Amino acid sequence: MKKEMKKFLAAALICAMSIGLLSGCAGKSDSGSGESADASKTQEEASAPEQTGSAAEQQAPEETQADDEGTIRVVTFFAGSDQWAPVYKEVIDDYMAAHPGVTIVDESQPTSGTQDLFRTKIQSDVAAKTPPDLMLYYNGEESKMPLDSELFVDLKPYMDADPQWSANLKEGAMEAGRSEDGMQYCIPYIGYFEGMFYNKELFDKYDLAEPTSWENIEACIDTFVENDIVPFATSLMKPSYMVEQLILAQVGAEGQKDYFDDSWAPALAAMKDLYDKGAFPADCMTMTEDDIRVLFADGKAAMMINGSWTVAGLKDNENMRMITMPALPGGKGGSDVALSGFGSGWYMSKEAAERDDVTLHFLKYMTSPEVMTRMIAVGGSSAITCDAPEGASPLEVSANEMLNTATKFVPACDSQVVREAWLNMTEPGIQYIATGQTSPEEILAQSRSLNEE
Amino acid sequence: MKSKKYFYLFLAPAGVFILTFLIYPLFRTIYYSFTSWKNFSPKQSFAGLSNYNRLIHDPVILVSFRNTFIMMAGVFLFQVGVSLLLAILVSKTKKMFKFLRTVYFIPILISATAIGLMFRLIYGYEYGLLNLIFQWFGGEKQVWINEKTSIFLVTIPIMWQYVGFYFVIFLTGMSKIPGEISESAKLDGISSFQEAIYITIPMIRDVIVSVVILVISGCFKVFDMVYVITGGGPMNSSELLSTYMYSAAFRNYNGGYASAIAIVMVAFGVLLSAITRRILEPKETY
Repeated sequence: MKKEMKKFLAAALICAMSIGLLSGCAGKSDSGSGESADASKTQEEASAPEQTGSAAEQQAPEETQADDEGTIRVVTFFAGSDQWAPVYKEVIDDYMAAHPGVTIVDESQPTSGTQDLFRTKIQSDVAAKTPPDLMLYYNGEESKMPLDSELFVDLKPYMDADPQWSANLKEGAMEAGRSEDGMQYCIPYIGYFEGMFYNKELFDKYDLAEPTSWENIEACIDTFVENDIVPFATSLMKPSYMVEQLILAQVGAEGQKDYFDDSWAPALAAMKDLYDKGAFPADCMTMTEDDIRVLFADGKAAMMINGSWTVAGLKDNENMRMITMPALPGGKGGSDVALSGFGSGWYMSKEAAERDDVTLHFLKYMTSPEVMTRMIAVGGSSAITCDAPEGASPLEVSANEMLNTATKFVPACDSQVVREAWLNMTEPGIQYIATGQTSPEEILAQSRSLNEE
Repeated sequence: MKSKKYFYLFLAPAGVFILTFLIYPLFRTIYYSFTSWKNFSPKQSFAGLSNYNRLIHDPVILVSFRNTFIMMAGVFLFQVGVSLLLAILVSKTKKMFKFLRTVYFIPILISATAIGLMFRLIYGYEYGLLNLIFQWFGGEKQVWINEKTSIFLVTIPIMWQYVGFYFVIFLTGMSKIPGEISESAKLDGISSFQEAIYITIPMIRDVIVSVVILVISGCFKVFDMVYVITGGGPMNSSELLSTYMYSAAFRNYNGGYASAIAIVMVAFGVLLSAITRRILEPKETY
């Protein structure tokens, strides 16, 4: 009897489990077919990009509902202490509020400071073949890595398919994201400009002429040093911006393209000359980028070579000004050449493009004039036609004047050359040059060799 | 036969783990060290021994080796020496034993990055604690981290952090010494110093050997503290093989050269551990 009971219980248990499994499969089959229906729908839409876009969104919002559901992985450098980080977060939140079905997984990492987590993040994601759906990454020499990976799409067909959207993308800026064979591998976004910031109050206080010529700069160094003011807030641990400006001031726009040529040597020698004169902070060998910004913002330094990304933190001080680094003695640079460009842009992964239009819609949103105006209100120049932000500070006015005076615009050369070659020259190459342990020519020869490898 | 089946079954998870995360990456690294691999590009080209040739002629490699030996000497003297001394002293106390054991162990619980940042602030020129103290006493601000001092200044927090770790290991070893030996020695009139030299240290010889091997191999793993405090500078003066390898891989994006440095690191680490073991292990006597 007991045995029969056991058998009965075992049979009942097997039946119950079988029914459970079958019903589970049936449920899965239903949802699976539902998913596949959705997938086929989005595939149809993906294969016909001309039916999507901002115009379609405005005319028939119900048709784009399927594109309003999904998760997008986005990586930018709008993180940490980056000036655009807060407004970028607001922009993302606004998008998610307007599109409740879309989740944006923001994996942005900071790129400034002592640790370049951003580059490492992108490089490792691409190396692992798990690229973000959308990333804001560098163009120029550094575009080789995403292009070689073949994980990202040519955005040209999408731009052609939506003229209303692409009409706002400035043609001059788009060139920076185009390959030699005409492929639009990225959509350039916020432009940068670099130059020399100076604190007018300190120049007025010690009755010194503003640093509009190299003679004026040389004349002010001794006075500042005597009065415990650091002439140049520069870190020799991260001297790239200063080196770029000095090279441009020495060789001009054309000479800057002769990468690591011996004609750059006087610019590197100028760094040693300034170091010998005590123009840099006492701890310039170990200071970080953040340290020098604090030093300059606190009024302890008279000049700083930096870029548009520092404008936001300084614009509230009415004594701050920005100009192009004046030409070195006998140099070809000066106020007619500005270091400016669109060094980064949006890349969209093939996987995201094939999956659905959610990522494309978000890209269009990020590159819309409305969002662009919000972003450049913080700093930088726009690659998209948009309204100018109102209420500019004296620093912003001087930066604008600098860009208006210039007739030639050249990009920073660090993104045009092999990174190892650039860093060999600047970090720690400049330290060796400044302390006289090696010559500019020797460092240039090393970097030339690394650049040609 | 059955027991062998279980033997393989239970060994499999660990085997798979080691193969995936240790052996396979090691062989890939050896392969990459013979290639030209830039920007983590999916494309690599065979470069023969060029990475190793560059490594031999790279002066920073020599500096990194020198710094690794300086750090090894420092941690050997201060971590092993101080932690052994502290363990002997604390093992004699009865009142504050638990309190002292906790206090000395606390630095281990703090992240090395946090300690690094703390020491960076201490050594800082403009707002550093050391300069603040100097100025209180009428002195002038100093640039503490320079080409000559950098490696010593980064070694200080490393030594400080791990003293507690080895201290606890020594204490555990000492707790295994039978109490009768110490008691009978005391009856014979032995002093505390003699007890430490003739009883405690010889009886924890195995523990000391393990600690020395841990200390030496630990020196190859130091990275975060140096990276945060000096970044390997100024002028590569505080560079270690680990920081230089990181720099080659994630700053210069030269995967081939970074792999060659990694292989040298592994080979050197294994060699040094083997030598240490050979020297310190007791010779069998018949």
